[in-house]
Amino acid sequence: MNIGVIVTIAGHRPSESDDGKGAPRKRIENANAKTTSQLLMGSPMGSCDVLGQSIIDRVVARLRGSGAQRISIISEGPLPGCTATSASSSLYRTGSTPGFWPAWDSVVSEYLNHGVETLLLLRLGPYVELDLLDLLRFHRDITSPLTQVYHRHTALDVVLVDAAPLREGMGSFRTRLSTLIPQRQRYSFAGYTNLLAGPADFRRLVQDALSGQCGIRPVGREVRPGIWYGEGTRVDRSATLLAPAFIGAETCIEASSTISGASAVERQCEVDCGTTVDDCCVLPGTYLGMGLNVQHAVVKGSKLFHLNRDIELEISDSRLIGTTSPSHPLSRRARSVLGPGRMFGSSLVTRSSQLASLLTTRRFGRSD
Amino acid sequence: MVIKLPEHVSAKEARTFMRALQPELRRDRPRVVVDMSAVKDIDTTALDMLLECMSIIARRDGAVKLAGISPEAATVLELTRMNQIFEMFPTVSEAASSFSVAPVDKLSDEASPQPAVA
Repeated sequence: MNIGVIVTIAGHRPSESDDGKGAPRKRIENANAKTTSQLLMGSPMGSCDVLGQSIIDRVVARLRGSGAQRISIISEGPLPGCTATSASSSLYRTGSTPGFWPAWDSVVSEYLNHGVETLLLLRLGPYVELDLLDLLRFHRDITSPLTQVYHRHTALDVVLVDAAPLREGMGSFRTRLSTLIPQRQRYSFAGYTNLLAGPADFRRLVQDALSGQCGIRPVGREVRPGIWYGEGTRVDRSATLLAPAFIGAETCIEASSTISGASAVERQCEVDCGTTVDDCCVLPGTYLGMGLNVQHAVVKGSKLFHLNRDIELEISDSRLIGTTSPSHPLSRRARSVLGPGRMFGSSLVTRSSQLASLLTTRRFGRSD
Repeated sequence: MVIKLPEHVSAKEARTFMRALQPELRRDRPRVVVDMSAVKDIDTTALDMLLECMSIIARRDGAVKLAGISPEAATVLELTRMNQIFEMFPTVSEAASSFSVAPVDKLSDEASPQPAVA
């Protein structure tokens, strides 16, 4: 199968003038064009972790599993916190330099020069557990050079296109693709699809993954039925975890905390003493302070999206929520020496003051 | 006394709030309604201040009630579990009218229902 894949990570949707010409062009039908920016708290959803691995990495792995070898990833905008290694061994380009469409054209050109026969264009965007082989069979059996994937009546950003008409046409590859759109055929896909149109959809994807309703599996070991730990996870013995739950790599769940309601606490997070996390996605590198009650939310660093109230808050007080810092290992070591009992105070006692009192206690302990 | 908190509430606004509260605190059984309808951002210093205020007023046999809480303020109160500490009302007028004390005999009737006649 000589197929080339271009995965676009949705950021801001590239404008018509991103190619520098500004000419209006036909657009492939898109379910999300009017509704979303595909950003989750400032980051493209494709770059966000779901149970230990980013959506983009999962999509790339799935494509490789289906036999696709040439996979390029182009971002429509900058990818905060996402590096080229997120798509290991794939060609990776960002759309910011020299511009999305020139980058896209250059990838298509490269594929055509390598004799690619069919191109799969996929935008994340929606998360689709596509059966690539079935889509290829469908595409081979029809006469159209372009097949677009539909879920029920919704057009998805997934298109299979023959390389031959792209080779033969005039103008940029994008222009040539536009001329094929009127000939497109619909491929109806009934498998798992999540439009990822907002934080609520992202949360639903995590819930579906934890309950086995989609193909995403947690990265880690299942320590008890429905409870997964990543590598280097530390969960205090007094913490309560209710299945299903995912605790990511190098994450600390401190004493007397509770994780419930199909929550996922991704890698390198810290849930401090006495905090309850219920029906939440806690994205990588997030610190949740002591004695908090975090419910129905997606949290990333200092940002919290409340799913029921449909509001996003930036909490400037890092004693409540924030990012994990290099000082955390000291905090953890101190706790392990002194035990959780000495750490626990009222709900508003700050992390820094707790640590200060803890270290003072320890110094007094030594002098005694 | 009704005090409306501004959009952003931090240490400075908390001090202003406490100053404004002083005349009420000198009274017997102070009654304070904090209007939180405009609050978009409230930090822990301000939350500490609310707790302090509640503590002082409770010692004088009074009460603090929160009213018209914005979704942002409600989220922070829930996050810090302070929604379990304060009485909260949808509007200032409902909070104010809640200070009206029900007749003692009615309360005692509700507290101890009559046993069923055999």
